[in-house]
Amino acid sequence: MRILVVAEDADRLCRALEDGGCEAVARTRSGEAEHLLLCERFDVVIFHPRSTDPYFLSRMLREYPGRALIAWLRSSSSTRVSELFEAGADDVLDGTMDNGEILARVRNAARHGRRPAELEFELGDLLIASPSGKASWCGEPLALTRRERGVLLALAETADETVPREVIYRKVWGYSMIRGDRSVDVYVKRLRDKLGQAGVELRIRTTPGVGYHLVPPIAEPDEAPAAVL
Amino acid sequence: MRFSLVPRQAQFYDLFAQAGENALEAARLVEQRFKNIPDDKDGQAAVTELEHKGDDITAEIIGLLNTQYVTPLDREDIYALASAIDTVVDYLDDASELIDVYHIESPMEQAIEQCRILVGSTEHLSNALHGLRGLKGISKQLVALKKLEDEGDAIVRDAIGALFENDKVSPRLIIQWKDIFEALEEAIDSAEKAAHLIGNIVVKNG
Repeated sequence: MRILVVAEDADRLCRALEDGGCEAVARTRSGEAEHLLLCERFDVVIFHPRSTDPYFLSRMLREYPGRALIAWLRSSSSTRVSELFEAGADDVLDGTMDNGEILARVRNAARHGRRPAELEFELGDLLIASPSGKASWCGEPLALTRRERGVLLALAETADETVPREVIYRKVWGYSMIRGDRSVDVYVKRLRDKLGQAGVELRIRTTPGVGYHLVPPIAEPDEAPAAVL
Repeated sequence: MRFSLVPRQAQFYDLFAQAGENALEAARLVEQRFKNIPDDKDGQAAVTELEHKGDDITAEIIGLLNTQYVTPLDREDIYALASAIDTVVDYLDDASELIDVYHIESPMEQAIEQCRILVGSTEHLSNALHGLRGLKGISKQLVALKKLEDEGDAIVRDAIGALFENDKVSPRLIIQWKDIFEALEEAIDSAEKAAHLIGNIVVKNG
């Protein structure tokens, strides 16, 4: 099993993994690790949250959905562990665990991976499997790119509420938005065009100076109300 | 190479006017390219064509300079001005080319602002070059150009500052946009340099 460890001072962890028959490759920075992930195959990614940027986990979940993601804390607290599980980590290791437990947990996470169903989202007739999956309207597939799906998902998650451009950018691109960057506007324009062409009854409205909000179609009653004589 | 004793002074003025118009056209095209990212995929060819046209005009001015015994302006001024206008178009071409080289997906507001400054600057530069023949109406064009250049300085400072406001931005975007902002700034500075040279010509010959 090949494991990518993204952490500083991970010698003990790497030794434990290698003693257990795994191949461990260590990187100290998330940028270097992401570059390596593009070039090589790893079964598991173990990361130290303090060595990576805050959006590393969400980027990993989005970009590499097939790989197990394990957080490694030198000392853990139940709050921090809960946060990491909520954010999508498959397991959390800490400095108190012995080598046997670490190996058992890593193997378990590699076997089970993540559950794709968690990433499915439904809004009326709109279904988005995940930013890296598929989107459909009334069962008809929508030809959207990964980023277009990501923007749509970011808007659909809080339908009818304005989502600031910075929030959309962070969710979809995985980085903070540079002031003046028009990426979100470009993708919203493309999305509007594609949704319009596909006859999707959802409208993306602009909230000037803030961001965008998705307006779901107004539900029509099944039957006309009976006339009162 | 033979010197001509028959002065062809008007030709210098015509070529400078052409060079100015060419720079303005290039700036307008580059502005459209930056505004239309990512939809303008083929626009670079037209910008490069104007860059080549600018090279040809510069070569023609220098060729004329080398063959004319009598020149309407000092030789070194003609040479420096032709080179400065050529540099404006070179930097415009560089900045525009980076859109494709870096596979830029979305525009940046600050770059569009820099392009607005460039269109204004080259418009004033072109007007000033048209006024060279009679040395008329040049000063107000140069003053306006200088004002735009100052505005351009503030925009590029803000643009580069925006790249480093937050440490969680993509390092790739920082590298890409810093290069583009700087290339556009070089084009703006070159237009100002050309304006300085025109100003000196007016003082010497006015």
